[in-house]
Amino acid sequence: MTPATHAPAITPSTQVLELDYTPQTAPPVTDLDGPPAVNYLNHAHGWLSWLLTVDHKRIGILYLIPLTVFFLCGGIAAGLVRLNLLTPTGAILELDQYNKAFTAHGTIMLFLFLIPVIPGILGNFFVPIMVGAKDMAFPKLNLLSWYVWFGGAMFFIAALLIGGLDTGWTFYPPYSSKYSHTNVLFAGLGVFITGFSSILTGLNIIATVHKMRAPGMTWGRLPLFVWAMYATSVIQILATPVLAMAVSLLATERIFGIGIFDPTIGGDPLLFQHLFWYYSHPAVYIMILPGMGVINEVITCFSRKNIFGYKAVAWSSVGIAVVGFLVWGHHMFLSGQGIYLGMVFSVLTMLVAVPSAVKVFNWVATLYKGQITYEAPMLFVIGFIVLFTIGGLTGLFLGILGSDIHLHDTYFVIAHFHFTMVGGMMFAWQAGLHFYWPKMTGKMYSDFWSRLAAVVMLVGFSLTFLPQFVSGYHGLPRRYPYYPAEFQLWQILSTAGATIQGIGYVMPVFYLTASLFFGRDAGANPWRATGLEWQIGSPPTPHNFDELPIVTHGPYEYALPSRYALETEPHHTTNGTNGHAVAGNGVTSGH
Amino acid sequence: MLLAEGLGLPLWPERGTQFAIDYDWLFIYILVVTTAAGLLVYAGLTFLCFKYAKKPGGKSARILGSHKLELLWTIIPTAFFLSFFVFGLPIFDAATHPPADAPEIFVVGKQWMWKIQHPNGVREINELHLQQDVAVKVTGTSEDVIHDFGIPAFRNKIDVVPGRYVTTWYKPTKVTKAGEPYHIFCDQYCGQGHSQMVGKVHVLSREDYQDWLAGHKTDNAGAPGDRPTDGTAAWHGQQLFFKMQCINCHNNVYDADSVNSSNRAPNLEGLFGSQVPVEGGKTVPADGSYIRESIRNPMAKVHVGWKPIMPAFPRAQLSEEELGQLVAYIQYLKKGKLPKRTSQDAAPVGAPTQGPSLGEGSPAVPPPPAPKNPNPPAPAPTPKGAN
Repeated sequence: MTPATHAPAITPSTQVLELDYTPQTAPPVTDLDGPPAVNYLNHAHGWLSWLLTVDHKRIGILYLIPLTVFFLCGGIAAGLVRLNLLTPTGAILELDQYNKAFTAHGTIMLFLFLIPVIPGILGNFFVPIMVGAKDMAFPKLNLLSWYVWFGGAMFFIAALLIGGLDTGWTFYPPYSSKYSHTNVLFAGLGVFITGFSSILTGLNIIATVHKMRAPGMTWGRLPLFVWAMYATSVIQILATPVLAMAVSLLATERIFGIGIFDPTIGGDPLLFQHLFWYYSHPAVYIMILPGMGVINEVITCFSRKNIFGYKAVAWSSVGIAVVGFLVWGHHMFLSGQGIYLGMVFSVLTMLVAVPSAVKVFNWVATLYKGQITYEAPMLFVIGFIVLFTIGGLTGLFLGILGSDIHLHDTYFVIAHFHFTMVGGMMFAWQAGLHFYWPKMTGKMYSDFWSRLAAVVMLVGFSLTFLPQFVSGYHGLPRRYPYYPAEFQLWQILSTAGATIQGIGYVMPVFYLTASLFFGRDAGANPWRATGLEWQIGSPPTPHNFDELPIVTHGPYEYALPSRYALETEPHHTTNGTNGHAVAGNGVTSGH
Repeated sequence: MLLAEGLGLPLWPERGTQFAIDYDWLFIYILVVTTAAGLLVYAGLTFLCFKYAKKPGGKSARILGSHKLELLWTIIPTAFFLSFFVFGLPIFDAATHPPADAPEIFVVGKQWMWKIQHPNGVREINELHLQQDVAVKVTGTSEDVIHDFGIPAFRNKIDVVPGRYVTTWYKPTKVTKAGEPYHIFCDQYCGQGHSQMVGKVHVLSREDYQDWLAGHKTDNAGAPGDRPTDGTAAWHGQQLFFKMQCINCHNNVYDADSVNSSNRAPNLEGLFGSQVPVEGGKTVPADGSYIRESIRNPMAKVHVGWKPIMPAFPRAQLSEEELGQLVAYIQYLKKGKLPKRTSQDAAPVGAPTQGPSLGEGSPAVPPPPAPKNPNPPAPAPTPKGAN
């Protein structure tokens, strides 16, 4: 609340936009300026200009399209599963078909959607812009990353279509190494290949954050989305190789019959579980951390507030990334790893829950004394906080040795996992998509339909997964196509909820597509946001910034009068490149 | 939760053991704390969302954070989380440590059925009969992939992993009503028939249990007298001990002229529960897992002072069920119990299993022509629901 001081943190070496600090009385600009005449979407044409692009923004779009298709594929598989569970003996599928359907749902959603969605799309598109760079540190590597990912994904989809996969997304041997007659090898190879893309993208983002920051963009001024992406990238680089090892060893055993996991030929099935969860537990943080990053950007913007506790939020991401590596054994309390190992993992699991709780408290506190508006991105954020709180708290039941005994492998686990991954990550992705859509496309979508979609998704989601806590506590095991009749009404409620959810997810496909053709121009900064990405045109020009931005303050200075001045400053569109250097407004950061 | 009752599930699932009651108290404690925490967050969220909704001309305050609050909401959750862990520990500990004198039930998971063997030799498939107020130790393993033997009414569950023995225990306190047995679920995904790998637990009063043992009472398990009435697990183990020619080396005879004779292997009397020095300088307890490993893979841990000459017995030769019987037999082998090899009544593989009785006396149960591996019917195809 201290008034702005007038000493720039660093001496600008380039032309800096001078801003007027006198209070503005001019009404907010309503006829938003149009898109830059030359932008990243129209500066080159043709298939090849997309398939050979090294522009991080175009690569972001290259991720967006297949990821949407994969999400719909995974969603269709989920729909089949839920429809089948309408009756206790399977309404539509045979046993094998059911097993393939839930495996397809799990593997597609996790490996092909949740892991790449925010890093691939929003990470690619916005990390360079947010740090004030013209592109990623390694633009060509970035394109290679996409090709590797897309190739691996196609391989994986082909494996699912030709023969299918019935091991569940966890691939536990000896079932997967010896007993399953499905396409374990090809699916595993697909996972193996996409892993390389994950590693390369992580490497690129780390290099970008270290080396490409604009003058004045100190670590303490990085947007929290960048902090979250950084923490995610560290996990991707360190954990993904272990998954590759686990899958390779599985393939070795399956092809050559060398005993690694199968005890009848001298292996140990728990070894696989250790290797698998050493990757896959951190992997759930790979999925959720970028989502948490998005929440910071959106909640500050729509409450017109600085984030509450910048450092706490930033370091909690790092804390999750580090401690997240040490809790994998909480998936194995009952698989015979021993009580002392279990105790260590249980205590560490309690500790990794703390940074997530800290984040939730900081988000809620950010609203204090704000000026909150409720456009679609903010509704998704509120949905995120509501659902992620349940997801986090129910995780405690599973992380405690004593209470996990009964809940292990039941619908309680399913409900908890979906509350964090869908209620958390999916809502964060929707928040990010709706927040950044005007920047990425230059078009504004329907306010009414987008808010309605947020509400429909929240209602549908809750109806789907709240009943599963009850059936889980009553002992219903996961991955059961047939189940005792007393659970049927709870399954019907879930299926009804899933139907509503499905409608919710399809809605954005329509109104966002429609916005491309009929939407009004969004203008550079429709949300009056403070981040660097909002100070350039929508859609951005090919090289983001025409002048080197100089950063002199933190990312969320919504409450300063000078920021308001900036928000209402009309953008220059005369030369077709309205991206100008910004932010040299002399406000020293509060951080 | 009343809604739950109306919709086919009771408020709480049945609590069939004292452990289940203790477990539910832990669950309730965590539930109360987390619900309170969740409601606190929701209350704050709702209040702030209404109070600070945008007002015309309104202005947001520049607030950067508060160290005190950060500390507060780091320390308090940490304290509660650790309290969950502390309260949860004795529950987990109780589930993993059976009473020392509890009789042992042997559970083998197999795609897709549960094979259960009682200490007195009674065998069941997908059914488990227990006596009220009698604790039983459960030792589990798998013939093929990983399964999980779970009984929700006991709040108990254990992954049964091929290649090792896992242990848990129950002491059922309530007699199940006729027609309302507890569920047994396989909780670890094991392939096509995973959801059909289910069974029933019947808890009987002492009298009913004795009747059931004697073959008079079968509940709804089938016609009376259709269950095998062969000997105990240890008795079966002894048959195998002869049949598989174990006794050729593991015997009490010192006979320098015979190559098949002694000093080739330890005689196993009193082995179970002792500490065994193994090559490499370690000492391992001779429990079920050690004996099991020494039969399947004898070179893994070689008893100091003995040559590594024992052949391995893979599953093709010895099923998990038979292995369990051998373990039961070796457990039974106290000092002086090993039969004389010179009695020459070892039945080689393939011969009718007419071994000597267990111990010195006459057989407690006449050895029947035991149907090896009672082949259970494949899971019946379940009718499809109307589309």
